[in-house]
Amino acid sequence: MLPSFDLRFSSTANEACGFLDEDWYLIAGGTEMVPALRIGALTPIGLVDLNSSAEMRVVAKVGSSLEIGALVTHTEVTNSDLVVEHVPVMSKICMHVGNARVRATGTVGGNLCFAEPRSDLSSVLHALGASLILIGPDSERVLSIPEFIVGAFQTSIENREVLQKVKIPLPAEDVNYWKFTFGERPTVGLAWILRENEIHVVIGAATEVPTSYTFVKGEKVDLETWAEELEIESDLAGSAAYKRALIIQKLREIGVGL
Amino acid sequence: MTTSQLITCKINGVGVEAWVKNRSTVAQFLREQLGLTGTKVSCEIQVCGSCTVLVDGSPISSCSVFAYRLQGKSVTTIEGVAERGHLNDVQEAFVNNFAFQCGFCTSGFIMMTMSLLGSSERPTDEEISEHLDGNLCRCTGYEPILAAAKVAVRKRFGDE
Amino acid sequence: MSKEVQIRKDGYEKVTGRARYTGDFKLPNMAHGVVIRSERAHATIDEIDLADAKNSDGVLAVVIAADFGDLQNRFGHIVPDHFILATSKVRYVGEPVAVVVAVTEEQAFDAAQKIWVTYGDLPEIMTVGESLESSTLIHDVDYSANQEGFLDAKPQQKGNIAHEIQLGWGDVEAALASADHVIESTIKFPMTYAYAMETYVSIADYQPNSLHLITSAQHPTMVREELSKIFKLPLSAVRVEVPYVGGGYGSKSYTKLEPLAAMCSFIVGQPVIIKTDVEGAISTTRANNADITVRTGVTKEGVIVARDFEILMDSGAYCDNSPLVLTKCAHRCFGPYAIPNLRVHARLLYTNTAPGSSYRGFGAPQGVLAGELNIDQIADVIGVGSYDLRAKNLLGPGGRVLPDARGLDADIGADLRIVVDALENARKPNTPGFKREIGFAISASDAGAAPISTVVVRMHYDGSVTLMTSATELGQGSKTALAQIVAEELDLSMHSVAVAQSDTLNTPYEWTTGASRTTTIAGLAIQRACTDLKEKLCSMAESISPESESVSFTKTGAVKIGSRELSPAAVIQGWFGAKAGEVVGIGIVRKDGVTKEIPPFWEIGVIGIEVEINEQTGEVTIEHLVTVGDVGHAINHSMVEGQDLGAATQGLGGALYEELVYEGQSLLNPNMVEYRIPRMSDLPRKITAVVVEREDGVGPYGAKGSGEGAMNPIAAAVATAVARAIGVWPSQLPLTPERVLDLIKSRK
Repeated sequence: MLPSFDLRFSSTANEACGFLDEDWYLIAGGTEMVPALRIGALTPIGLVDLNSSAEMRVVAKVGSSLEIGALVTHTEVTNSDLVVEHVPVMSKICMHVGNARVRATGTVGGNLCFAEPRSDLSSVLHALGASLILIGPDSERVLSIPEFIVGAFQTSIENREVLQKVKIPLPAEDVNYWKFTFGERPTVGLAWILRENEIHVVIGAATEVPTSYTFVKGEKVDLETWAEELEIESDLAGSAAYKRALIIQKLREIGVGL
Repeated sequence: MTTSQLITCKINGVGVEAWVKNRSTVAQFLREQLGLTGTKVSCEIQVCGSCTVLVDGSPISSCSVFAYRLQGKSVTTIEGVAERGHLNDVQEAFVNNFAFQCGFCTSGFIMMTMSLLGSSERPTDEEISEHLDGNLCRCTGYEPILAAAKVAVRKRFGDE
Repeated sequence: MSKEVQIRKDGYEKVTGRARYTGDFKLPNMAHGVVIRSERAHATIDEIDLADAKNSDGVLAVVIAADFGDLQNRFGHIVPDHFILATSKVRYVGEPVAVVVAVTEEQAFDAAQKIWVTYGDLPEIMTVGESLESSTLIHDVDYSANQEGFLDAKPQQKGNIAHEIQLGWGDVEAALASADHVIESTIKFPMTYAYAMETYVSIADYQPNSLHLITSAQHPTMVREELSKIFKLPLSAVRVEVPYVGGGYGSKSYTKLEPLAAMCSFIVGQPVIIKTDVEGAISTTRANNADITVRTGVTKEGVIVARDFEILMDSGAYCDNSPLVLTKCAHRCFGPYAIPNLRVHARLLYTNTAPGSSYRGFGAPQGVLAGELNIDQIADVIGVGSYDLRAKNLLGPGGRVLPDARGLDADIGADLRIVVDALENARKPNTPGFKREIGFAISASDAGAAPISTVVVRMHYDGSVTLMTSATELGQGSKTALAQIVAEELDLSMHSVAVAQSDTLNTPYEWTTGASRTTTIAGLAIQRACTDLKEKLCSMAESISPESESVSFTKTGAVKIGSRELSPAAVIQGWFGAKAGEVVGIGIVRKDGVTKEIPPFWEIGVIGIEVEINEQTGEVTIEHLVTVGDVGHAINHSMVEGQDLGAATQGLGGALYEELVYEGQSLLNPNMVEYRIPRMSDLPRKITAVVVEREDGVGPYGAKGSGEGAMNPIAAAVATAVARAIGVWPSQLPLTPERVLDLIKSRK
């Protein structure tokens, strides 16, 4: 049983700002919001429903960016010709988020704003150097992923701000992604880019926030010691030591520290 | 302050106009307001799929989507699959392949299989199992369900 | 019986959404109950503030234990320790403390948020170890006094020990002292959750001197018994109606939510429905975890001289079915081997966790894990092959597993040969980074529960038939299998056989639906009912026949009088003198004749596994699963295979993925995201399902039971395969990737 709440509808980010009174939250696909309501993790007075927003549901190439509206679903990202052409890794990872129902309903914006650590999108967008456009009542901010996702389930979104879209700079770097999953959600996620002289890595899912590291190619690294610095918690999917071991193995596999 | 919305939608091809509470889920709307109890509720956390219905052809977890979102949409539930009581290819395949036991997950698996067949491209075996991997079954051990889905794909797209 | 594939009778309903389960019913003026559950593991209830809730919109009552008046507040078919609603204290997080009954579910839910309970904390006991050591009593009343017990379980409570069993024979210490080798194994079997996808739900309609339940339960007659005691009603006044059940697996055995729903209906004077979500279902019951240590003494050739088991099983806060699970664990742990000296010491401990109750396998998965893992460790130590070691010690057909029990009605050695051959013929080599290995295990369960069954077969005046039975349809296919037996006995097509099930107002007495007993026991009763029916038809034919001629029932379903043949329809119509009337055949099974010996049959489990282990991540994939359904005679081949694969898959859950984890007082994972059950992507890459029909059972056409066999040895087979691949024996299941990786590391 879900608790009762008031409801407003909006079709633009600007309009939605105005509707976001205290204890009002945005709802897009609801794949994170509804479970949160069910367990009482969030207790809003009202929800602002953005699902009628055509403008926020668009994937477009604008100048030298690929823009993905916050209301675009994971399935739409997977199937978008533009995404497949310009940032194929996004199509691939969106294809493996949750299950087909979650993918058809859940949105990119909702995924990022909920900031569940055990997810894939934020790690890959971090590696891609994506920026997030936040519309406030009187302002517009542009944040990077590390500036936006600041903790487990914590973003730096301000009062009355609405995430409008994600911009990925083109041409996109060739980002690879691997994850290890035992249950429903990823336990460890690793995005990497093999550059000419360095390997750029973003570690997520196991950490509270996706965090990037750059390793010089060919340079020896004591990965065991390095991994001790990672902020990783033990949970049902595995101990911190186990997750570290998985990360170290994968890093070695892609050529780090050798 | 609103507590309900007036929605107009299509349920299995039939126009429906109804007041739904903001907090009502699609599953509650279908089961309790419309009496369409073929859609089941189990895990309530989007992983088991027993509540799967199709909205404009896409599968949703009806336990976790609000009913007001059905405004202007077309819904297919398990009750809308058979044609005047005649089983369709998916349902036949499930019966002939013993792809159910207690039956509680069955509506969901059938709707998921229907959504797979909705695309114009033939799904590969890997795509079939990945798609259906999103539903849980506690009775059968999955093998006969996968077999039934493959039969349905063959019926729809012809032999490879 | 015909070898043609017989599709299921409940197929059409289940694929169209027309099959009705308890939660699909709406009684007129039905109110909704929402349960308020304890937030403490062990505490006194100092105060319950109900005022705001009572004044909420639509609320009809807020029910607490004090409202039951002089009606009994406890139930329990073995030990009546189970409070319907907590009274002076709570014993686990999730225990029902109050129920808000309101006109709509929303109103009940909203009012429930306004209830405040003040607790006085008591020391919480979260593990069997703590329970044994602690001086704090979870139950300070000894309910076992004057208890007759139930089947084999006659509990004697002692402190936090809910039940204790000592069984065995010979002189174990002397035998172990003189054995060439003594090998000890210790293993923990996890706390699991059956996850019937239809969670517990009951509708109760109490009226003066009549109580009607519509409920998702496996044993309508057992629920009727319990309610009749609580409400002091004759059995005839208590109607327990069970529609389709969305999964039982033993977790819906006996009585769960029904007394609570009935009390609420009694208090508000309207029908009341109570549903549970997954967390509420886990708070109702979960399956028993156990810590088991086994020592086996063998000669250097591998002949068993003694086995010694120490079992500690977790009952949770209330007994439910656990004393019987403990008993069966004790019977099933040592295996169908020749054991000259045996000792099994088993204890069931109360803890402040959700009540433990029966689950598929019923103590065998726990016991067999220990017993069979130990056998493989012995093979390792003494250098005898796993198969050869078992073959040396296995009892053959007729062998005595338990001294006073029925001899083994199976050839387990032959079954094992099938499994090992199938495994070895399909073995695949290692690939870089992956290790492959095989394992196998066996089990014999004294299954069948009690052989008490009554059925009625009604033949209508057109010769078609309705079978009436209180066996429930849980998904296992009882509706179909039982109809098939009727069709076979009377030479009818399945279209002419209807089945009425599980409604105590209408269907005759059935002991239970569980212990894999239905085909064998209810099947026997059906054969007797059909024989009775045929005799009645013959006698009717005789009485309407002008001359006295010999009368018999033919194999083609006709009544032969002298040289003429009449259809049963003609006989009935002739006898009644109109197109009217019916003839009723009655069949009864009790503990005599072929079912005098207990168990009615032995349920055999033989499983083979080939695992593939990812040496980097510890992930275990099942490369090959071999199951053998040694069922005597398969009434429905596809359904037997379905039972074996379903049971094997559930067993794989406990072996590799499933574990309810308590942290402090509460569960960390009471939901299906964090509690991982097997999914389609976990399917073994190759499945060999064999059905063996040696007609060696007492059931119809030589049938024995099916449904739990494959679950019992699979954890042991998987654990053995993993241990052999890695070279280290595990001490705890499930074998999650991390645990496997730790085993790999510990070898180095």
